[in-house]
Amino acid sequence: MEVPCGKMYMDSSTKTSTATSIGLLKSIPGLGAFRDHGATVFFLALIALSALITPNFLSFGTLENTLVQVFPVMLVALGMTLVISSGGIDISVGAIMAISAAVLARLYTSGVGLAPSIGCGILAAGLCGLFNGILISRFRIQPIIVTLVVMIAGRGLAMRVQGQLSTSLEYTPLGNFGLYKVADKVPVQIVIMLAAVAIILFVVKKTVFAKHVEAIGDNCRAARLVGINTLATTIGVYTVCGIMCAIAGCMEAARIGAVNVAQLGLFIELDAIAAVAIGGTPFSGGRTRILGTVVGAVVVGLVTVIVNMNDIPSHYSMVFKALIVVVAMWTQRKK
Amino acid sequence: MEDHILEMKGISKTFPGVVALQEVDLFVRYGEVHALMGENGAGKSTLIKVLTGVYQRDAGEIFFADEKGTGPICRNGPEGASHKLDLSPFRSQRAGISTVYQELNLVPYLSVCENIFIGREPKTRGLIDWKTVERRSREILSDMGLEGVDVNEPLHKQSVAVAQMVAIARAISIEAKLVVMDEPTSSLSEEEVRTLFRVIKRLKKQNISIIFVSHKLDEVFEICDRATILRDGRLVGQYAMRDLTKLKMVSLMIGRDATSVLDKRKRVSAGREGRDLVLKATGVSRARRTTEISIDINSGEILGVAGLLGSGRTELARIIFGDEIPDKGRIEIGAKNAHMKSPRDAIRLGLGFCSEDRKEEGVFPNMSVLDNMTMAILPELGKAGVLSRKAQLRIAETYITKLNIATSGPNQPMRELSGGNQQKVLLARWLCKNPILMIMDEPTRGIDIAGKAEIENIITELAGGGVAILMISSEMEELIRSCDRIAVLSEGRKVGELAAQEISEEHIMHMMAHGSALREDVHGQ
Repeated sequence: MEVPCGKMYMDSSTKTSTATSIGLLKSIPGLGAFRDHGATVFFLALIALSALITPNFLSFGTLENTLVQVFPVMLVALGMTLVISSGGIDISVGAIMAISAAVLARLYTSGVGLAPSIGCGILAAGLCGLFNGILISRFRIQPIIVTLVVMIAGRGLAMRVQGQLSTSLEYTPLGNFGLYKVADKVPVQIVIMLAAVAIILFVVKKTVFAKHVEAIGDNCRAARLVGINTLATTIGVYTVCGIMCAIAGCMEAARIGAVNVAQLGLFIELDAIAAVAIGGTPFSGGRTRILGTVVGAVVVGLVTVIVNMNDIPSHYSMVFKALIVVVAMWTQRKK
Repeated sequence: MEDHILEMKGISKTFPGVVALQEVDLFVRYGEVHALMGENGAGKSTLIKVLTGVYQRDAGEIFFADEKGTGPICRNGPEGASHKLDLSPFRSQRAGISTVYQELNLVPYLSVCENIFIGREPKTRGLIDWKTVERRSREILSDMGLEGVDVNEPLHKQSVAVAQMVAIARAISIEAKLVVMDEPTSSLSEEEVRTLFRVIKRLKKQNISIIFVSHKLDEVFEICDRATILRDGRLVGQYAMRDLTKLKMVSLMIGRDATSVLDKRKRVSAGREGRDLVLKATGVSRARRTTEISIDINSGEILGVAGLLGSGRTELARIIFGDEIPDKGRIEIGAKNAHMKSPRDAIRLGLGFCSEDRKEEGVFPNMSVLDNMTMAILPELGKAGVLSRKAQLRIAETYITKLNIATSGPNQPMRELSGGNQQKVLLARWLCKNPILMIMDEPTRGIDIAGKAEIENIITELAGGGVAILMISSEMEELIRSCDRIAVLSEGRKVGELAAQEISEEHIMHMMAHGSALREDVHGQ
């Protein structure tokens, strides 16, 4: 019987054959440590490299700047980690960010209050996630196809909702909020980011929901047979991911002070997936490594910052990120 | 010695923390079927993987005769230590060693003939010669008695048994001199086993040697000439089959007297009086695979289901567990009509299910023993969806001790456990939920003899505690040992039911084969 979990790879026979050798690989101490903490190794290496080649790198300003820049990738990557540990993938995250920002901008500039506007932005993104989840679990369409569809259609929809090329939010309470610093020191993004990490970490470590997500990712058929509601769980995962995108989208709109849905969140799915990959959450599902993703997102963000601070043309940052992903996957490979 | 095609001498292999093989010898003669026997974890698979080059040995020598039998071609002994890495899967295959693994290495979406010739397709001018591929595939399969198979159809549309035969066909078609078969019959029906044995006999005539690994003693005694027995990574000895009895072999494998383990019919039926009806299924049908099956089980009773592969036994289990919805018929649990739309509904009613396919339908390989064990009870362990690790640990520790599960701890990943211990974890998964009905499909498949006995004991104890048990097994002895009654299925229908005093191998076989009871007074239907 086919199973409605939206596993990316339906052929399970390829997955398990390598299982025994991983156990062996892990028990070699040095190699195991590198495998498990590849992200941290990268992170430290990158910081060391940056400190060496970048002037003024080790300063509070750089730290603050990096973290604020990392913010959207971090939130999206947190949602993506859940999706990937359920055995799926979501490439519509950028488009969902754009949708939420478009809804927010449209409502907010037409006189709706700040809170309801944000609420509707989040709601719209949640609905997109819900749509993804239902198509994947109920209608058993491959996650990459479903989210590809939302990725393409979503941005078009966002443009339609926004109705104009760019909406300025400067000097509005929303725009000010994007630049707000808690206690005049810590950008609001950092606070939200820490809260998000803490919440997701709690969910993953402590809730039944997260265990069910991992179980679905690890063996979808077995998950059904132990009585897990695979439909609801899968839908939940994509919805949570959508909501994370909404927070990222709305906050980015506020920080930039303008919404341009053609650009907002463009290619962020790649950064988010890269962050998850660097963080060591296996793409075959079954394991969730939130702290790995956190480090992974910072690594991805650092690359951009380093490239900018060293006056290297920015398109090189994409090449560097790609290289890091390749090396990360190589260190975590199943031998 | 000239008459050996393969000599493995003093093979040792250590994995971190585990000595898998310790100075093991294996000598195989030309044209013989050589059984490699041992319990799970005895080192059979490791030895085979050393032979096929999947693992590199730490010490020892391997000699494999070349085509003319004049000399060894893979002499990687201590004197040639620099060649130690030479024995790769590719080289061993090229030398003429071919393996049919327990877990089939086939590509489900390719056709049958593509699977047979994958990696060495005959070519004309650089392009694959499909006509030859198809013709040769048909020849090979019809040689094996499988004329009816459409070689152009994708493999995943075939039954597991056909897939198994395709794997064997591939191994044979490599023109191997030594074929290693690791549990080749585990998913074959009686008839298909016959076909396989005919193929093996033909290979013998062509002077091809076979290493045969199986847990099924009957088959080993039927087809094999000699046996090498391993225990705990060491060599117990090499024997000619005619010098062995089943009992002796089992004793050698487990290292103690086997009579206690292979006890015949030890269950004393509890009787049905004064017990509540737990399950009553009436006229259950689905598609064409199950037709009008009716069974009932009381609390504390073990109902066995016997039948060949494809008899509808697994489908019946799935229907009762709500995994498949019947087209017709009624299922009552505890005298109440049960409308189950999914396994979730069945679990809520107090059912538990251990699938025949542990790997695909049971274990979460990357998750811990703890998580695997508590997965079904998880929602009950926490408050408002937040789970209590303490409660999880308490359950895990209880059952690890109670069921004697060999694990380094509750946090060990499930995939690292042996088959028998995985099965115990899966049993514990349901035991901790206190089910009223346990459905067990092939509960001891792929488990060594000591493990089998342990699992049978758990099941019997469970029934003693009042749990109703539906036990499906293709091992007749197991059913005879454990069950109170046995329902016999054939081609999707229930052909009869045997009460305690009527249970015998003869009766069951007769019913499966002829679709009717041996005597008039055996009550059926």
